[in-house]
Amino acid sequence: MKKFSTLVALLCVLLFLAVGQVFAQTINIALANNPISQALAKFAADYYKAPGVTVNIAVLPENDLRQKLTTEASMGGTTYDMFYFGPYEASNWARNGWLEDLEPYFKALPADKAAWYDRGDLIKGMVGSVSLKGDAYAIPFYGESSFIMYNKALFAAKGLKMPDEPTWDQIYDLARKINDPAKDIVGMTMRGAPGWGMSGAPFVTIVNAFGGRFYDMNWNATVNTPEQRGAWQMYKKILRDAGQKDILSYTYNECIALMQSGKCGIYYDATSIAPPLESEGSAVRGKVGYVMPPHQKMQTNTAWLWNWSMGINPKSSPDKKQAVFDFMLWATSKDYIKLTVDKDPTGSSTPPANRSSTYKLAAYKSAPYAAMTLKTLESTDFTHPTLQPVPYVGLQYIAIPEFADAGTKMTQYLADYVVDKISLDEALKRTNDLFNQVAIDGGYRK
Amino acid sequence: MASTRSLKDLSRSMKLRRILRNIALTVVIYAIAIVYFSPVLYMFISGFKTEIQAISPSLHFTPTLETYSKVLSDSSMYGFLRNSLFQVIAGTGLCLLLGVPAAFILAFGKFRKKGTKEKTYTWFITTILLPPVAVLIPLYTWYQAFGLNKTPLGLMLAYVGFHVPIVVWMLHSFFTDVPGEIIEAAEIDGCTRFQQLVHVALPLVRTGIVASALLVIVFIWNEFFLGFNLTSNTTATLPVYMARFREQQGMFIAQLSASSTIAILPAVVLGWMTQKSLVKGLTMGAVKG
Amino acid sequence: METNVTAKKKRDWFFLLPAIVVVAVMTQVPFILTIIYSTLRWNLARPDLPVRFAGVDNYLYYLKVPNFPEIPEFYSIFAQTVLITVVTLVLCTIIGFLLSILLDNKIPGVNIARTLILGPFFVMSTASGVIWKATILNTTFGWYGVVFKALGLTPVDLLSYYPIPVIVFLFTWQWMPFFVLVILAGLQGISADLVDSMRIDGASWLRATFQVKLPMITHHIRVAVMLGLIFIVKEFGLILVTTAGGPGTRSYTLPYAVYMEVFNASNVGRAGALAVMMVALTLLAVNVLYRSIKKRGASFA
Repeated sequence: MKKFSTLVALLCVLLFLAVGQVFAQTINIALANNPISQALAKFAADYYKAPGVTVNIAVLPENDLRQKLTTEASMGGTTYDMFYFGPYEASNWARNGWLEDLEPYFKALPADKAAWYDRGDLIKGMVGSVSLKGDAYAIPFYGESSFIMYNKALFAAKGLKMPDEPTWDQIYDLARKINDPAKDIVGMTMRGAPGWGMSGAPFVTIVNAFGGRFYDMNWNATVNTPEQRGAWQMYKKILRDAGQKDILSYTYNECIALMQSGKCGIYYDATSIAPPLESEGSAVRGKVGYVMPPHQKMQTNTAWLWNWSMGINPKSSPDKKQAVFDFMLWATSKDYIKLTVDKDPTGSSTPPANRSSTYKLAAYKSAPYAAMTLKTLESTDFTHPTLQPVPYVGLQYIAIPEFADAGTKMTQYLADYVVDKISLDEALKRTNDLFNQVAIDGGYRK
Repeated sequence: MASTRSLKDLSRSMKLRRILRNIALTVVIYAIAIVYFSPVLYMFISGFKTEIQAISPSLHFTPTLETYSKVLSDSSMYGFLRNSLFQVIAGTGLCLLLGVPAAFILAFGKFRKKGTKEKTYTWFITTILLPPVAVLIPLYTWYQAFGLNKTPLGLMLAYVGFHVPIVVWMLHSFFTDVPGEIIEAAEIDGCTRFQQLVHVALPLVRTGIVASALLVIVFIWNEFFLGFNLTSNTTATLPVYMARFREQQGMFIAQLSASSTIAILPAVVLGWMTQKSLVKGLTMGAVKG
Repeated sequence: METNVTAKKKRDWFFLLPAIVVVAVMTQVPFILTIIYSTLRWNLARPDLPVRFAGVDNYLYYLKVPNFPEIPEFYSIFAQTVLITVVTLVLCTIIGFLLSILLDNKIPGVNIARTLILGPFFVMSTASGVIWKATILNTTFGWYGVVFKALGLTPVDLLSYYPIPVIVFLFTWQWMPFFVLVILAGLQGISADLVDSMRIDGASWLRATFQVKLPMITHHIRVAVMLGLIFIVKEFGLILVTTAGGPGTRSYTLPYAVYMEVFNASNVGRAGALAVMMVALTLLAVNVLYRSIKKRGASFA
């Protein structure tokens, strides 16, 4: 009996502790596990001070983050007070009322704070990609386009030269020449792990470069075309003939690790990947060359465009919303950029492409990738993604809510095709059927 | 003379053969056991490496406590550990609090309709079969709507709902093994049902209670699906924390090893210490039926 | 006296009701809701499309075979789930039985060996999944890759090329100890007299093991298989952390497919239909097993 009452008492104490937690003013934030976001989690823990507010940051695998936040936003949950997402989500979410309009918050800023923040310094195109009808629904934390990174040392050793504006065919030839399994040297690496935002990102830009598109103007799927076929084959042959061995488990984190080890010739990925390659501990520091994203049939605009942005959960309490807004201002301020450059002079913690002023900082301008990052960013136009006209916008994605699922399934078929589980014909047919189904289910086809 | 001698030889050689056989058996059994357990063992050992030592697999290194102490002092894991402990203590406690009386009544209770007990018992058993994905969507919606994912009580509630049937099922046969006359005698002596349970029946089914508590503790400690979907970052448990390592890359193997060692230690040690009563409970409760 | 009995009967309900209520609210009620959802056209990502009754459309979406020789995805996912579960159970039973026979010997410190083999059962599946993936199966940094390279072989990425065998292997590694636990308990329940009399009769080891001991513990084996089935069919974490269902959907199982339909496609209606079908199939499988146990005379429940 005594034991029983002890147990009950213990339970009561635990329940009490649990209830107590709920009343503390904590704002919950989830970030993706890419290097620059991880740096933010670290700096926020060490340097962000706001009276009465505790910031709780979770760093989740990117696919988890996307799935959790989309469901949360659509169900009106309040697990996370700040949403972390990109232009793909922004366009749908703002329209659905799943994001707080930021204009009232900006208007309420005192003059000195507004001057300190200098909203006009944020890069227009980036802000525009997360706005709706002129109102900002999010603040871009960092932006990225895509380009080719290559290991100059390996190229020199083989007497090869990287063209300034390579085609995919040239990239493939170079990758094969560099590839040397006997010496553990990989010709080229790209994301292989399925997911629309994972292998989907490089893959769809290859489709764009090859002149392919996913829908014609009447929302008929156009995956089963020679252009698409060429792109699927190119993706497979690069990875199979010259790519990493564990093709399908490679997210950008694995790619970065491989490239950093100095055992990989070419790497096609986001411009925001470059800083870690130039950071301390990287075997290729100072030895990486950067050139424009490869083209093929389509000559320009073959990169992707993305940013990770911060928005407010409209279902959170007003106090928390304000606390989140304050945090967002801090994370996207000039002070934060200065802090990151001071603490990490390699620039690998500094968020790129959210503020013009970043590129005027002497410490940052000298980074080997800075000029090429700006150049590719300026060359992209997400409203005209393909050679032939399409009814959608988005470079490495199609800006409809169903693409998260359909795009992921497409990359799964792609993965199946890459490791020979299904034939190209079957992969193309399945994807085509899937995209047709989406057009019908979603009511796009009239 | 000669024959006795050969007989002696024979028995000696048989003895020798048995000893040899036993040695061979011992070696084989130990080899299998060590190989089988080696991934866990290697994980434990790798925790004593630095990240640089851990990057290539090897057993030659100078052990250091650096990684373990780093993991233990890092506040990020601590929160998950605390949540897991809460779930195990409060969840298992409540499971017993609800499950023990239920199992007791399902053995000795009296109901107006015949077959009520059997039907209720079968109903409990059927819920064990229900996979958590089958209830994911409504639970997720409720948890979002009522903020239940922001308090550990939410997940605990789900754990209780899913594990009470296991307690009932394990304990049922233990209670039916208690002779009905004892309970009836207590009843005639004027004991209330509560007293019958606490003073008469409980001491007789102690093994069953320990075994079912253990099983529930191990299940809750290791449960991932509900913990992954019905929590936020502040209420998530250790399996969720461990799953986040799946996309880490490069210099993380030592940290992963140390973290997982800490994460699995309680369940493994508890399981080992109590395997006897677990076997007893399973054979008495589940197998015998 | 009459009222007294009624009062007692009521009193008995008080012991039972709290458990029933909690279990019903957390499992039964949501399941009924899932069944209702499964008849709705409801996509969370499209709040602009009204939620409406869709009859059996969601079920048909998975079940219909539009152009015959081509088999829709649902069937392959179903087949994968069955394959993974059945092969795992078979392996667990065979290896578990043989190991139990070994561990039933009286050798010095046999308890330590038993304890070691029991270990993996208590390890949380996400931890063991990540450990296997990172420190063993990785072709560059894992033991598998290093050993293969040392032998002059090229390690292929097992998780991409042989996802189902890898998952079956890991499931077996994790669940076999449980089979050993139950079967060993059965073996140790065989009376010492019987064992001695077999030895005196000079029964061969093979005969003693398979013709005498095996029939005596079939009940234990069936129970282990049934419990294994219940828990392996639900397994989700290990798949998520190792193959994430890949490559493509080659290692999707039904629970994983439901999860993806909710969280990736946000399609509540379809996810509901998939979940309901999964429950129906599980119940069917368990029922068949349960009956076969009942037929043996002893009862599981």
